[in-house]
Amino acid sequence: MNLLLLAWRYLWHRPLVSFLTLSGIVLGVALICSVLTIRRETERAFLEEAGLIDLVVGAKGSPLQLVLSSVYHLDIPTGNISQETYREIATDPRVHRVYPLALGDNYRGHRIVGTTPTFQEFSRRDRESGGWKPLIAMLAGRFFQADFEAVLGHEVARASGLGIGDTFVGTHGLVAVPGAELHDDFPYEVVGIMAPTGTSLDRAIYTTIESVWKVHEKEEELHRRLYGGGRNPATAADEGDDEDEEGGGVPWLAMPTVQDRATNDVTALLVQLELPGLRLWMVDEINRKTEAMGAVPINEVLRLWQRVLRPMERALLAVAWLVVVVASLGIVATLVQSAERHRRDWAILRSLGARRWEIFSLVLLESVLLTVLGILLGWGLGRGAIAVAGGHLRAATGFSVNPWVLDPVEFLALGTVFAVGILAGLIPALLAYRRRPAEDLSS
Amino acid sequence: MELQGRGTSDGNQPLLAISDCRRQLGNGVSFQLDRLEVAHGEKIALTGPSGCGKSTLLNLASGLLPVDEGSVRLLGHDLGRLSHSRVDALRGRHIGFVYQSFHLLDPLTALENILAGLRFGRSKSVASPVSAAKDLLERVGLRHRSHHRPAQLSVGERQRVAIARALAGRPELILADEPTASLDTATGREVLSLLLELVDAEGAALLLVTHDADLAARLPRLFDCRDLVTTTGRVGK
Repeated sequence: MNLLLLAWRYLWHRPLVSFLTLSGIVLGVALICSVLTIRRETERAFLEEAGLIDLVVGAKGSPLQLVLSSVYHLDIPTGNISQETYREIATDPRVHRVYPLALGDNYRGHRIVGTTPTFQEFSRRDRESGGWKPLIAMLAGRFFQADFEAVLGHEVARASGLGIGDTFVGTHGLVAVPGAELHDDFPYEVVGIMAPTGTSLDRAIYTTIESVWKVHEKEEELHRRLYGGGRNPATAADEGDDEDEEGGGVPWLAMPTVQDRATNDVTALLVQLELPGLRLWMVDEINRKTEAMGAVPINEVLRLWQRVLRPMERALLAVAWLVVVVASLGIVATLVQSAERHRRDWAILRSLGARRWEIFSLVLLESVLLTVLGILLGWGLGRGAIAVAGGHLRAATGFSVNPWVLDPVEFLALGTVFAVGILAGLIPALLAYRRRPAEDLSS
Repeated sequence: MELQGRGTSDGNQPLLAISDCRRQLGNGVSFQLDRLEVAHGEKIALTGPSGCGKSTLLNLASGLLPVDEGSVRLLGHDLGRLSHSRVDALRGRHIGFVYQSFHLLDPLTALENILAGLRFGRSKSVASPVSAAKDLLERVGLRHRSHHRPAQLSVGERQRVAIARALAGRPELILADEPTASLDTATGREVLSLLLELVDAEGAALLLVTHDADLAARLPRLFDCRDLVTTTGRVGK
């Protein structure tokens, strides 16, 4: 018969009250763990992916918009750039690889990305060896080689159910809109499915640039008739129309942001440099010397993080801590009530020879047990929730969230919850410590 | 008022010695006792009307209630001069309690209640607490009720568990505060017989508070407590 067992027995002698108190701690801890894990994993995934590409080059406009649209497939492109700019950048000796992108259609919300077959060689910088490690591997089939052959990102294959040999047609625009025009005349055939990369590559469909161009030939002809063969309105807007540049209009729904066939424009360039230290030099040069705009993804993402996501994260954490504080007050209320209800029992224990500090410890141990149990269950619940929500997050962003990774911030937060729980137990423990057993035995 | 014990184990030192004891109980009521000595193995019935100070005497004797003046010596230790912790330890090791309302710990089983007595009494003479607790339950006829909680026991069974717990650490002194008052007459006599039998077997001393003159008559000594609590003056010579 030790104090811990005795505390446990007293705790579960009032199961409903203990359960409700425990629930408060469990929910608070689960919330804290979820917020911290999602924050950490999302930040890691965002920054890792941003680090894959040294520069993004596109039409002048918002650098963040350019990065979000080209790297993460989350926003609309800023416009198009010319083949001349593409060639100029591709032949720069400081450049390791350039991958041109042409955007314009989607299949059930998944973007159809026109690029070159060399995209298969897309690699990440290996910090240890200093070389490049391939990022893309095929889960099934092969990479596209001819027009209207399509390779599906892993998440697209999972969500759409398409397999090798299946065909599909794209829908006009970059997001799924009810009633949008289907390109029935230009079916794509699935020739390959990519292995998961844990990046937004998993959420897109890849094909040749020429496929995207051919699909939009009709629109280009109409566009030339209406506008006399100049740059398309989206591009024009980026170059001069303030309203469109600020997102006031939605030209990308009505008109492809792709390329004027006559000039072979592309939407953006993903650029990998020989040395990451050249990023800012290159951006400066591109911005000064060309019609295009350069953006460093990692810088833009960090800015986005600090300005938008971090305040949201702080607000969520504040709510989580509020839950923990309320739960701690619940511990105080429960144990004070318990100490009052069990004052006769503490007096009996004193009559049996229990020291005052043992009564103090007994009550404190109830708080410790509640808190530790709450932390363990809350941690488990938080992880479970993340594991379940991870699937949705992967589908929405392409990021894989690993719920089982522990980090020091989380330990610190759980340690703080533990300390708060102990502090909450001190009040009833002191009340029990100070009681006079003779009075409680006779009452 | 003075009560002299029958003798002491070493011929000199009584098990319990209370002298010139005074304790304010609030509202101008005070408890006073000039001298009380209890020898090892002695059995005394404390009688008197309700509120006369019988229970207060037990609390003072066990150190649960400290004296304002005078001294309470248990095995030669002056409880008023010891720390709380030391008094608790002495009480746990040398005194066992049996209460009118049993005072069992509700979340624990019968066996665990006895183990709690052993745990906090810190009895060093018990090598295997669980075996010792089971033996005690056997002696009070409740071995088959070891894993029942107090709420699952009859009142007679609860009091027998309480007696077993009081004797768990083989204490030298048993303080019984109206142990049969909550029981019917037949059960009360049965429980008292059991208590006396076990106290005899252990060679412990007994201070038994009771209203029942018949029960009191079964003990070799009687002590009338009616003059211990007063509003003025000093009594007990």
